[in-house]
Amino acid sequence: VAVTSPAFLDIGVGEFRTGLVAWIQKHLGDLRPFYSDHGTTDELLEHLRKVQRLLFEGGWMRWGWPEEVGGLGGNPIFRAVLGEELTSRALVHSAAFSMPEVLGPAVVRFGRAGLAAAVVPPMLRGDELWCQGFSEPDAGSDLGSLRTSAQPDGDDWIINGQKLWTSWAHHATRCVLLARTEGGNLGSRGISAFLVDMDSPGIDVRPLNTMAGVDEFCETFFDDVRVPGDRILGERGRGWAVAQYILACERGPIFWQRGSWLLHHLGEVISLVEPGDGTALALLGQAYVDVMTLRARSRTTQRDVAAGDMRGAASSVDKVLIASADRAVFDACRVILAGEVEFEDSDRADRFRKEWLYSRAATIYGGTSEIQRDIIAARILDLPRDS
Amino acid sequence: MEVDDLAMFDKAVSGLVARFDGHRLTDALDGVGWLDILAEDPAAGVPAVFRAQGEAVVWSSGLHDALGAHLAQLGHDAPLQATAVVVPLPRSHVAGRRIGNDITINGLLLGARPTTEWLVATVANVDGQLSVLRIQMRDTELSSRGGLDPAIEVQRVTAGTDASSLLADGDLAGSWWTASVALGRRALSHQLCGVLSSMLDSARSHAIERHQFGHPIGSFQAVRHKLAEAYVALAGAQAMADMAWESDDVELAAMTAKIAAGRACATVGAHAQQVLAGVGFTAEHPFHHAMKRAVLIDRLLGSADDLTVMAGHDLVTRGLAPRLVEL
Repeated sequence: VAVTSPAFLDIGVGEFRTGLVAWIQKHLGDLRPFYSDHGTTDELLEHLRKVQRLLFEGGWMRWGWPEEVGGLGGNPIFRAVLGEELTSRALVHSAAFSMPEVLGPAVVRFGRAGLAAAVVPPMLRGDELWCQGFSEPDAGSDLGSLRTSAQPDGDDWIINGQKLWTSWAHHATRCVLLARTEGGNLGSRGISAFLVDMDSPGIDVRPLNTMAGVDEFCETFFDDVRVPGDRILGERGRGWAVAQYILACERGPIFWQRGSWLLHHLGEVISLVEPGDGTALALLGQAYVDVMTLRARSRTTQRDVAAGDMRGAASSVDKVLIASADRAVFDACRVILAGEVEFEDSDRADRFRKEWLYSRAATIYGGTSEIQRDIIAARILDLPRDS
Repeated sequence: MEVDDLAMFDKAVSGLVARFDGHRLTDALDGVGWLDILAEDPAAGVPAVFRAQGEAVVWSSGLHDALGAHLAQLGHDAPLQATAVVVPLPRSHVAGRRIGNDITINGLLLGARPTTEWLVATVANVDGQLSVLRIQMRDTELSSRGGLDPAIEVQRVTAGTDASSLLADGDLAGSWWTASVALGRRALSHQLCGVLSSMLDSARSHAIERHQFGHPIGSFQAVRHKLAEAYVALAGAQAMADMAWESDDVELAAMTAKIAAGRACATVGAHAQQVLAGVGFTAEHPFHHAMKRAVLIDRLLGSADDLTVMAGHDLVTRGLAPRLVEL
C-alpha cells in the first residue's frame, strides 16, 4: 500500500482489514516480539517502537488520524481494527499499545495551533512515548481534589506537585498533566490541562514496582517545572473537560483491542481443556461470554466514538463489563493451566502469571468499578442524590 | 422490512401486548401480520414481538412459531396456525427419543394455538442422531401443568409413534433443528431482556419512592450499586441479543446471547428483589409475575448454566475462540 494513496478514504472497514491482515502476514517476522516470556518494560517498549515505526512507514499507523497531524484520514474506526489485529496476534502488548489512543485525540482536539502537528507524528511513529499525569496520592477516585499546582509566571506556568500511576513516565517524552490553576476550593472547576516535556528541569520520576513484577507505573514529582503558555490544552480552568474527553477516549479503540487481547489468551489455553472437564468447560464458556458481551457492547461504542459522539455516562457500562471480562478470562486461564501460574517458571507460566496478576487491577485502574456504578446510578438510572 | 413499516409494526405490537395475553394475543399478532414478518424478516419482527411481550410480561404462541419458522425446509406444508413444534424439557436438547423404529415424544407446549392439528418433534437416538417427525395432535396425550408461572398455559405432551411419522432425519434433521433452536434462543433472549427491564424499572421506581431513615433508599450507595450492577448485566445481555442477528456464526451467537440473558436474569432478579424487599415478596406487587416469568424463560431451550458448559465444549471442539462479529 502506497502511503500517499487516498485509497482507504473510500473503502469500508472490511477492505481495510483485509489489506492490513495481508500486510501483517507479510511482515510477521519483523512484527513478532523478540522475547518469548512476558518481556521487561524495556523490552516491551523497544519492540513497540520498532512495530510502530514499521506501521507508520506502511501507513497503517496513520489511517484514521486527521491529515493535519500526519495522518492519512479515513474512518477513525480503522484505528480500532489496527489494535485488534495486532493484539489478537500478541504482536504488541495491549497495555503498551494503548497510549496513542488515550492521549493523542485530546492533544489533537485541545492543543494550540501547530502543537498537534508537531508532536503527534513522532508519537504515532513510535519515536515518542507519552504519559498521563492525572492521579495523585490523595486524588484517586476523587480526581477533582488534585493538588498539583500551576502558577502563572509571565507567559509560562510553574508546576509543583506529585503524580501517581503515571504509566511509562520513566520512558516518556511528554506528559498530559492535570494541575490546579485557580485558587480556592473549586474542585474539578479550577483545573487546567498541559502537555509537558518530560526533559524539563525539575521533573523526577520514580518507577513503582507492582505485584505483577512490572514497573509500568511511576511516581512523578514536579518541582518548579516551567511550562510554556502555549502548552495549555483547552481553556484555562477547563481542564476537567479535557480529562473527561481522555477518559471517554480510553473506552474507544482501547477497549476493543483489550477485548482482542483477552480473546487471544483464552484461545491460547483452549487446546489444554479436556472435553470431559466440566469445571474447565464452565469457566471457559463463562469467560468467553464475558468477552463477547464486552465486544457486543463496545461495538456500538466504537461506531459512536468514530462518529464523534463520546457517549459520556454510557461508557461506564463498557468499563464495568471490560473489568469483569478481564478478570474472568485470566481466572479461567489460571485454572486451565493447572498449576503453571502457581508452580512453574516457563515463559508461558511467566506470561500468564503476569497477566493474571495484572488483571486483579482491572476493576481499579481507569476509574474503579465503584465509581462507574456511582456514575450509572446518578446519570443513567437518575436515582436521587445523597441527601 | 422498510424502516417505516417496522416502526408501524413495533407500535402495533406495543399496543397489543398492553391489552392482550395468551391466545388472544396470538390472534391479535396474527391480525397485524406476525407470521408473514416472521417468514420474511425475522431479524426485524422477532426482536420487536419478543421484547414487547417480555416487557409486558405476556405470552403468545410466539415461541412455537419461531421454532416452526423453517418447517417448509422439511416439506411440512401445513400452516403454522395448525402446527406446533414441541419444546424440549429443561436439561434436554430434544423432545423425545428414538430406539430403532420406536419413537417416544416427551416435551412441552407453552401457549400453543388452539387451532393446532400437527405436532412436530425432534428426537434423538442413543448415538445422538436426530429425527424430526410429525403426529396428529389427537394422537398425543396432553396434561395441563400449573407450574411456577400459571399465567402461561403449559401442557406436558407425551406420545408414542414409529418411523412412519418421519419428516426428516440425518443431516437435514440436524441442520433444521440447530437453526430452529438458534432462532428460538434469539427470540427468548429478547423476551428475557424485556422481562428484566420491567423488573429493573419496578425496583428503580421503588428506590425513588420508598423512604427510610428520612431519605429515599435510592440515595444509599448499597442500593444504588445493586441497581447499577443490574443495569450493566441487562445492557450487556441486550447488546448480545442484538449482536446475535449480525453474526455469521448464528448457532454460537444465539447460544451466547441466551447465556448472557440468563446470567442477567440471575443478577437482575437478585438485586431487584432485594431492593424491593418486603413488598416485592407479596402477591399484590406485580414483581413476582415478572420474576417467575424470567426464571421460566431462562429454563427454555437451555439455561445459562447448562449452555455455558455447552459453549465451553463447543469452543474446545473448534479449538479456537471465534470473534462472532467484526467491527
